[in-house]
Amino acid sequence: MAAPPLLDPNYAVQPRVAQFISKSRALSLLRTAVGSPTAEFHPDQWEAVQLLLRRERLLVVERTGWGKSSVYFLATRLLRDTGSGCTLLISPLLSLMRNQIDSARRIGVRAETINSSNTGDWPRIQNALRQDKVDILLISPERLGDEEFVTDCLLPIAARIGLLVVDEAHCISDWGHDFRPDYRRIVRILRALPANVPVVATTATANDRVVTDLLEQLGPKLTTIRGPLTRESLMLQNIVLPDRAARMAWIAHHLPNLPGSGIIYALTLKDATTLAIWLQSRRIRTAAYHGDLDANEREKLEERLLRNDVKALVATVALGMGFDKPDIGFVIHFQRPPSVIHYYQQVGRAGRAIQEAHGILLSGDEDDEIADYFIRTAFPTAPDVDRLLAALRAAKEGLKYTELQRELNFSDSNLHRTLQFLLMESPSPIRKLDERYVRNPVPWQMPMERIQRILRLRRHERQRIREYVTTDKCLMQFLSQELNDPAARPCGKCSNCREAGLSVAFPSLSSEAATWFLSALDLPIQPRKQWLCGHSFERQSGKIGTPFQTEVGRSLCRWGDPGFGDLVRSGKQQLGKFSDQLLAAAVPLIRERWIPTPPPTWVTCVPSRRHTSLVPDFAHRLAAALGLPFVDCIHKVRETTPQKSRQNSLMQMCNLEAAFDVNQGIVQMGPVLLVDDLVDSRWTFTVLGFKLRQAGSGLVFPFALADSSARDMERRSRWRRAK
Amino acid sequence: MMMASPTQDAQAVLLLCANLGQRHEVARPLTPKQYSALAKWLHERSLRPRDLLQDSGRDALATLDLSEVAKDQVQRLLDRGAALGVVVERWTNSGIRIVSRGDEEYPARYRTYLQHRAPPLIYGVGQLSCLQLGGLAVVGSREASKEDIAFSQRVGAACADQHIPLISGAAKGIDFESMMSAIDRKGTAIGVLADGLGRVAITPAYHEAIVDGHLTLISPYEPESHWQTFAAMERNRLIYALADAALVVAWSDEKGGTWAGAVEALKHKRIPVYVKALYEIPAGNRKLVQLGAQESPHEPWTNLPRLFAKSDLPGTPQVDDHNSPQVGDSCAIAVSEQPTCANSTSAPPSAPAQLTVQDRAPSDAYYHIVEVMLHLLAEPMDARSLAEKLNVSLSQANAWLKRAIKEGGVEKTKKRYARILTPLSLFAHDSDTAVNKRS
Repeated sequence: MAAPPLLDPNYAVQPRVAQFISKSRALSLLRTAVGSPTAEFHPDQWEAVQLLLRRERLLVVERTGWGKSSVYFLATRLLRDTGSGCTLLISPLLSLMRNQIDSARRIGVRAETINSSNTGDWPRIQNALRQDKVDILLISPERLGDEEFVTDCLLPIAARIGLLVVDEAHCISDWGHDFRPDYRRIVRILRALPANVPVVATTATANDRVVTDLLEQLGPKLTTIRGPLTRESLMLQNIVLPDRAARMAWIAHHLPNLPGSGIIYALTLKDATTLAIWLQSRRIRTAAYHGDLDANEREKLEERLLRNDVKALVATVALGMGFDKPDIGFVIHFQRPPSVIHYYQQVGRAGRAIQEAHGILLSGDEDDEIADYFIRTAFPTAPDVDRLLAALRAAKEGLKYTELQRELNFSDSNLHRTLQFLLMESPSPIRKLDERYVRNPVPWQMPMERIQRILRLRRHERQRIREYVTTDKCLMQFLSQELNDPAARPCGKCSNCREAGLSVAFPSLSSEAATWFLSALDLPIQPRKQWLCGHSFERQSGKIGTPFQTEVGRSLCRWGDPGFGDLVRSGKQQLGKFSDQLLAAAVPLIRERWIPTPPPTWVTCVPSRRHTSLVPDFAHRLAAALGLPFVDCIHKVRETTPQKSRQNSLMQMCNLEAAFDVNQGIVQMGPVLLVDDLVDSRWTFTVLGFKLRQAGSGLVFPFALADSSARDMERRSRWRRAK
Repeated sequence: MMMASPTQDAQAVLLLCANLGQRHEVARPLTPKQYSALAKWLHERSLRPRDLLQDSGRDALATLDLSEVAKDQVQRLLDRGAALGVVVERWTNSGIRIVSRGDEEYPARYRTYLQHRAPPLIYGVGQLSCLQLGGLAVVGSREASKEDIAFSQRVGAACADQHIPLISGAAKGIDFESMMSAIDRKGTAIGVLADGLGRVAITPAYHEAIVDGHLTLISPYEPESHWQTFAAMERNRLIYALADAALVVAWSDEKGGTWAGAVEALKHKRIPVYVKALYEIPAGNRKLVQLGAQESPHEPWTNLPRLFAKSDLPGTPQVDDHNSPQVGDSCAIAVSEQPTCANSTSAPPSAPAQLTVQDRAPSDAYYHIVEVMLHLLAEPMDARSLAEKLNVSLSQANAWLKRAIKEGGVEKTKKRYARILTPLSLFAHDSDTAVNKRS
């Protein structure tokens, strides 16, 4: 069964594979793979395998659970038996699911994953690849954009790729609900691929428009295999609850009674974290899952859900593709997703192998605002693109990322989005060469027409999901029709078909608790651990020594949130003084919830030349309330531009150069509470913490009234979601 | 807009001949010679390179029996399809085109003049159609004198004004100066590189010219390749094959690829070779004259196409076939890889342009003196010193200086005059009557 070694002198011209494979041999392999002696091919499965053995190109649109992975596992096994090279699987998955690995292993298909989180394993895997001991190699789409990875790792082993698999292929289509820029590169690679490499692109969610687009982009020689998409176990229900707190209360009330474990989807990272903490405070086992967690943490959370160790993961779209748990009992949406297809894909994770599962879409007041934000920030603006290209053209040797930050004063997310957008154009007007971005010798214009077309589509999709929320027709039929499933018909299970569902009610006590919870949502302020890479601050660079870092601090609330957020805003912008209500909230936060240890013995604050009394006044009152001395030891020696006008971290750090002076003579030796009104980039706290420690102070605990770093919704911009 | 991908023929040739970022553990790419042998073998079986990607070609490959090429080597090379996809995406997306000998856009001149020595693949940025136009090759050493640089710039400007493509090696010195001068005046320039296009193509100075179609850069080497001496030697063949005439500006000794290329071009007598023969004639140039090169005509060059006339050459133009292993097979390759497109625009290169407008012998003394004057003004000096050196009256010197300033060749700072090392407009006045438009 083993494939011939790589340097076999008898390496023969490969025979035409298909004619030597019998269906019975394939079926016995399938049965071994799925571990069931009576398993049969699903409709079209064997045909798909045969096409691949004939080196053809294939698009498979089948719902999850149909057995798409079996198709490429079997094809891999059979191709390998006749001397083909290993299969390259491009997928946004972190790794194959455990059950997939097991089923591959049963037919002798050895799988390996190379991604940014397992660099330690690369040499071993590369070696195994070179010895032809790997049958499937899994890489993520963005790996292909990493020139170093491609040059040093992928190309040397790409000498023999017998089959190319592109998972979640709907991401290719910019008509699609989940277009990912990295997939544009995959299209270009597929187009450059010679005809002798078989390809299979798979997806579980594609409507007619997306399939047509895929055929157009991947070439006419693509055979499509498409099956029905309806999921029969799902009980769908929509509930409109305008208020966030009401939806939080509803979930807290109903969640314990839902079957098994499941997923709660939120649109933003902030909502996911908040909701998870809220549910934890109601003694429900939940955890937040989002793209800012590293691969390891995410994998651990997925495992916990697989083991039913949590009632629910509260997740952003980061939890999605490829996550396959057959007995998910419910999928709840905290907010309305951007499109019906998004919704179908997410709710479709429930009830794959169980009789009954709930799909509940909650919808609220903020849904439209968030949807608009995502539409508005989907593309960089033409003036920003022009400025970036002009900067690159003027530079002799291109520009590094930090040089662009300095030159353009774009926010990190905007710079990232603009670069990413340009890099994914075909041909691309820019390229990353080593560390520098350079201009490519190609004519290029902002594709306004395409952008407008996509934005129109997104607005249309938003309209369709609005209609879904309020329709009185069968919900499953509505979803299936949107996916152009010819088999769409009334399901008899959804709340509209049965004219019954879960109660919309929840105890008012729970709703008051949620309101209080939202208004008192304090946040940690994480210490910065190094000066910005490649730049120095007042002759300091590299890591900030542990004795000079601040401790983890706290902010009372988020800027702009209802409750305290509003009080901070009016205190700063209208009254010129922070109210006693804020003081009354700060004291118990510090004493009872935060409890900085060892406890601070004195208080100081960040001075300002613009509002000389605002922060010191509050810091004085806070010190008095805590029974601590206030020491006025920091002076602002130079006026600085407001940090919020500095759009990125580098500019913000540089803005503080030589701005503060710490009076060493009066600095006390004990731990100190360092007070400011807003925290954004954390550079002010970092710099003052550093200076206070240098001047002999004890540990520095930063405290801010509001966290304004999430002022704009940039952090949840789509460009970061893929990470 | 999607980038033009290589044709299937080009894909097959890339698989066979390109490194594709591999470490050659599995199979070494075919040398041009091996590839030619395989191409001939394919042709004899009425197959094209692209057939190797299909079952028909695969089946035929089982019977491959060449001494130069091993069957399993070819098979392994062809298996590198995924690597090809990844590498070619990177190249084409940064604007690099790849054409193989069988493609319509491949320079017909290479097929015709270089035959089996024609590079299997050409990588290019800009307008590849410019490669079919012929033109004047301008070559010279990297270390050039100010005088030679100014001369090269004037050649570049003249080419631009008279719509003659200028072909060079795009190297530092003579090549670069003449090329930049041509594209500054919106002429057409072609640079044939001895290393990969990768870094050269993104030079900011070239950006606009490439995007606007004034500059085309090509290389027979993969975009990431580094400069090698042997590559520079080979490259000269590619420069001369694109040209209708060559002008050697300065070569101080008898070394280097350009010099060897010039000697080779003289030997083959396909195109006339000129050397700059003005003032200090370098040893290399003198040697070339002994070998049959002609002196370049005096300025102003109002009719450059005249340089292409071959009446002075003894014998008829010959193709470069002295290395043909057997009579006939090189032709076979050329035939087997002809583009299949019926209405091909890449007809074989046309005969050198015949002149209808005679070059006027200028009687204006200024044109005879300006070169000398500019040469002297490489060292800034006042009008009196110049008059003494030229042995003319001060007023005459002043008159000439005034004219040279007006034409942008000389600048005056305080009382001293110095030449400007930017293209002159010396030819602008006459070009409208003398232009022999080539299309």
